[in-house]
Amino acid sequence: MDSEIKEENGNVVIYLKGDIDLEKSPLVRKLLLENIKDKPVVISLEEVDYIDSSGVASFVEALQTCKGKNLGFAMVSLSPKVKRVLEVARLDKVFPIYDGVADVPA
Amino acid sequence: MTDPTEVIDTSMESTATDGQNIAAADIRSSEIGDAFSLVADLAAAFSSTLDIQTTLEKGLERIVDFLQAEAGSLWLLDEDENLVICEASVGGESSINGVSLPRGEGIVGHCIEEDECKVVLDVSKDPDFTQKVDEDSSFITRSILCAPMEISGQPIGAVQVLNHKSEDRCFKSDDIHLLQMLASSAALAISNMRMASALADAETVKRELALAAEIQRDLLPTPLTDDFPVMGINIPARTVSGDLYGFLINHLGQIAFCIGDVSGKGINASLLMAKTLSLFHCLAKYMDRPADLLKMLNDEIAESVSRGMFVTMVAGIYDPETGRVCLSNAGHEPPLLRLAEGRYAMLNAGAMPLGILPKMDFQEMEFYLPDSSLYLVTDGVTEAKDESGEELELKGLQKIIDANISDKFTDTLRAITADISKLELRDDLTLLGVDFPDRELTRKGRVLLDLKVMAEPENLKFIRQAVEQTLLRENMVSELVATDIVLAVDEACQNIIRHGYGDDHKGSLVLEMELLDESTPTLSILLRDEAPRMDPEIIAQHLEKRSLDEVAPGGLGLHIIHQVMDICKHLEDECGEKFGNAFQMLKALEAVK
Repeated sequence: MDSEIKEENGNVVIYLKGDIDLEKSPLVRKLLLENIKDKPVVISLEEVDYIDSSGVASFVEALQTCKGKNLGFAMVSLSPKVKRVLEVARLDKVFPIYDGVADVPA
Repeated sequence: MTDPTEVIDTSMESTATDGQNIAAADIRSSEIGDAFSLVADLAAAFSSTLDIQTTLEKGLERIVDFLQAEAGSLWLLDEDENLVICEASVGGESSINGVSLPRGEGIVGHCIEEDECKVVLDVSKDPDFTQKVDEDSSFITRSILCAPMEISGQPIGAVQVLNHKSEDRCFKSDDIHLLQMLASSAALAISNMRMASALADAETVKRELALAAEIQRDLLPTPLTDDFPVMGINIPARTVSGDLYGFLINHLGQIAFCIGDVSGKGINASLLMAKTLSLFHCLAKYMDRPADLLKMLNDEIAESVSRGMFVTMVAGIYDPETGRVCLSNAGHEPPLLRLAEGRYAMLNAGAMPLGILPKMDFQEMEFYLPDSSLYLVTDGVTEAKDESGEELELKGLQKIIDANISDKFTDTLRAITADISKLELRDDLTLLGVDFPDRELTRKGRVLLDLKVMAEPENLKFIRQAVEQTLLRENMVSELVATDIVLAVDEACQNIIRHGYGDDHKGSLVLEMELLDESTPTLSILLRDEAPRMDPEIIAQHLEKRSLDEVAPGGLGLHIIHQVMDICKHLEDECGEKFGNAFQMLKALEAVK
């Protein structure tokens, strides 16, 4: 799984790349959980074309972990296809979603 | 080389104690002239022929004659065997050619090891003298003059002359200078002949390689007709190649094809290439399952090939009648499928290469995806480097393919090859293309897509791409609806992989997409597996539509399927007794805008 992790404005920004499906979601889950420490987490999906329910499940888990630690969680730069999956799963209202990293409130 | 004057002085000292005398130096100018003309003659004789044996005999004869000796012999060092072997001999009753002494033994042995001339005036008083050669040749040696031969400071042997013909049978001090000069001349001749012979050998090898390359090129097939859907191109990095491709029409009228890469380069790889390709041609005529063919090839190669060599290969069958393709991959680069609208699906690598372990099973994937084309390459293509030193990889290959698409498939392949040839190639370059042309079928009650893969997570992406390509090329649904259907199919396949097969079972997954001939055009997606048969009661519970609040963890997939599809059903009649399930999803297309 291609990814990049940067610290921007006090947030840990995780840039994911490629399809997040049953093959890749175990790696994504591990990557997300490893990087939830003491700073708010932002997941950038600009280079993700596709996610499935297993990918969504890893985001749900990351969201819950952040809430448990009282840390912020946000998803940014969603492609129309990824947005559609969240809509079909009716989870589009559950995740805080923003256009880009700069739009995430401090 | 040691100064001969010094040596003869020492020898004179040592022999003086024996009360013997060596004749005083008495060099007449005519003799020097004769000696130089002999050296010149010898050099001419040595350079005129490559027959080392005859040349040495003749040269030695003249040396023996000139130094007025009764006999002479020329010895060469055999480094491998640690022996000194007589290569030429004159005088004596019988030839001693071929007689050998352990390295360092005898006067000749000492002469070579110590790299200095030896003068022995009475062999009976020299402890280094060995009787062995006299016994072999019925010759009685009394005195010896022996000079070492070397090439570029490395000892190669020695020339010795025996028994001066004068009454005292003693050699004169000039004789040693002369012999040394003649030995140098002989050494040079031997060196030249060895180099010439090595060159001749290299030339022979080169000629034979060129012949092998020609035969190898003839093994690679050319398209059978002008519009034949399969074409291959091979450019070897050296004369011969370890890459292979093949295609033919099998007993059912289908097209069998393959591409392969033998580990290593050079003649050994090319021999295994020839064997593998010949076996493929033999077997593919009568076998219609690529996985079975690879299994047979693997057993044969594993049994007979020297350790460490192996072959990566993709074998496939394309049926022009039905448009179906079946592929099996033994550790080769993933085949690249170019879908309509220029998108690509990478079909995964599968099992290990041929020749490593016998009795292996290979997996197959099948699909019906008209209006697409398959590109198979060897790593010589993906590892080719551009100007900045970056490897091409499959991504770069896609760009080259896109830039060269033309109406005629053979033109496309030629143009792609021309572009790849411009890169820095370090390995054999082989490309095989298979074209699956568009098909005209009746509008209703027809199969739109049909594929069979192993139920593994790494095949999900291909399934998604195949479903999406089919929906879009048929213009049946909007892009958004296509996204939804792809998602639902993916979720259903996931359930089969995760819950149907679980960790304990492995097997295939078949997907059939059909447009049903009903009053409302309805899309049917049927999934079949070989997993343990599901309990109908549990299925009934799962298939019941529920609100999201009731969705249990992990039940998100089913929720998505229900959101997208109109009807989901488990086809009881089509399930096996213990293994095998059939799951159908229906979606009325008119309802979709």
